[in-house]
Amino acid sequence: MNELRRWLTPMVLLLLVLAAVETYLRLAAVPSYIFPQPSAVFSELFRSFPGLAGHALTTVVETVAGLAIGVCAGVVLALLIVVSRTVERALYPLIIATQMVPVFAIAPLLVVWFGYGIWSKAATAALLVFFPVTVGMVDGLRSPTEDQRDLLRSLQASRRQTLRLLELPASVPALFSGLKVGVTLGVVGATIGEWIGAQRGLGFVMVQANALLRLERVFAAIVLLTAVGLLLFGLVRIIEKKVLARRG
Amino acid sequence: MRTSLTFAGVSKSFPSPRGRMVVLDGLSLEVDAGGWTSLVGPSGCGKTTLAKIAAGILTADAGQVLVGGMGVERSRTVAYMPQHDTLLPWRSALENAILSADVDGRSRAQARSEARQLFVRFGLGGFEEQRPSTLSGGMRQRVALIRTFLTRRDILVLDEPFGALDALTRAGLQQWLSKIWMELGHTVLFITHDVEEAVLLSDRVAVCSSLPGRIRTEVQVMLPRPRSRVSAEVTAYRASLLETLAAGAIS
Repeated sequence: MNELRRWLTPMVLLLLVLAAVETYLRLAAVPSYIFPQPSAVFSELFRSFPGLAGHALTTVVETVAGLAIGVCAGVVLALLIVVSRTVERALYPLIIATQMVPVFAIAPLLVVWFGYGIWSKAATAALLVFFPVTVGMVDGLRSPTEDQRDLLRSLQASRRQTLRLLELPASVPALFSGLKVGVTLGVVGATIGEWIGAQRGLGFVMVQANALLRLERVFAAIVLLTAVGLLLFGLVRIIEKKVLARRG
Repeated sequence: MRTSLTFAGVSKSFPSPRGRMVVLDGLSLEVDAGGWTSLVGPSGCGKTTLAKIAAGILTADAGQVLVGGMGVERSRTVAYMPQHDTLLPWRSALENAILSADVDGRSRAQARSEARQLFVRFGLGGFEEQRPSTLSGGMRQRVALIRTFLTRRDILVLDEPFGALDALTRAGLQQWLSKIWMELGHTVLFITHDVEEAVLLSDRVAVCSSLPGRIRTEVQVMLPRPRSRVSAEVTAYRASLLETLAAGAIS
């Protein structure tokens, strides 16, 4: 019931906005190649659903692959940073620098290096994903209190044991926070990769439809992309809830 | 399991905005093997610093801490219980209790069965699989004590273990801990600012001065156990110790 109400409110708002847009577009007779009516977008969505769903699946695969790579890289980097001050001083500025360069500037290079298939998109996604994961994970690994660290010191725990028994388990909530930001960025990264050069995926659909002035198809792809993002985000949240409930 | 703990001229200072702050200045104290020694003193007299040095968490700038003739840093003979229960929230109560087995590489199965027995004995039977967040303050403190006992170390350094508890829970735990200790016979260094608690539990009470910390006096408490907080002897010890503390605070 609560779940229903949580979904109901934004849905009602969305429908109201769509209805207003539809009414305006019809009354002002705006042509569909400038701004398609929501009804046209949805009829396109239903008509081309099998084809679009295939493209969406490609985007999902790329996002998930990018997420996996980004999370692994983020966790490894965070561990290196926490374990060694020298590594931290050396890596941190570089890690921040990777986020200063626009993805649009790097994505064409990634296509050159990793080809037109899913891997250039996974790489673009990973490039965006690893950053929040690294930052979140570093915070998480540093979250144990001085009391908790003292306790392990009094047991003469080694560096590795402190990591395994204290810092890693303490970082799980932060990892999920990083993961939730990462999921949304992963979808963005995969789509940008598809814009630059692809034969499949929702980003590819958008570029093609845009060139043909079929804006209702562009919007249909955006709707699906949003759905994909929400789905992945929801999935991470469900896993997070399960894991955090188990560890109390 | 009878090992003494000796502090010989232990000094420790920390950097502070106004130069180095001397927390311990040549403190000497003997914690008898199998005896209960309490250290009382005003807040911030370096009691916790001393406890951390004994536990090998901090190292002294000067002086020696000896455990059966060995330096304390690598002796693995001292178990430390910090002021707060410091239970790890992601571990069950039982898993928290056997933390030292994970560090020392002992058999988990055996540690678990030992812990189960102690849980029953400590009145925590049935709470083994609960998360610390679902336990009361007194229960959490008992789990932390089980964890300390299960380190299998001869010397227990307890840093104000009951400091954060309400008076009733505290009185209950004092009696209970005293009873357990009489059965197990560890060497105990007990840090507290509560004089009455010190008199009720100790063989010997050492009073430390405010900064820099030194031992002002030591008092042997020659009373049979169990002791009652309302008995004339306990009250008399308490009054004389409070007087010593008050004299130190003024000078």
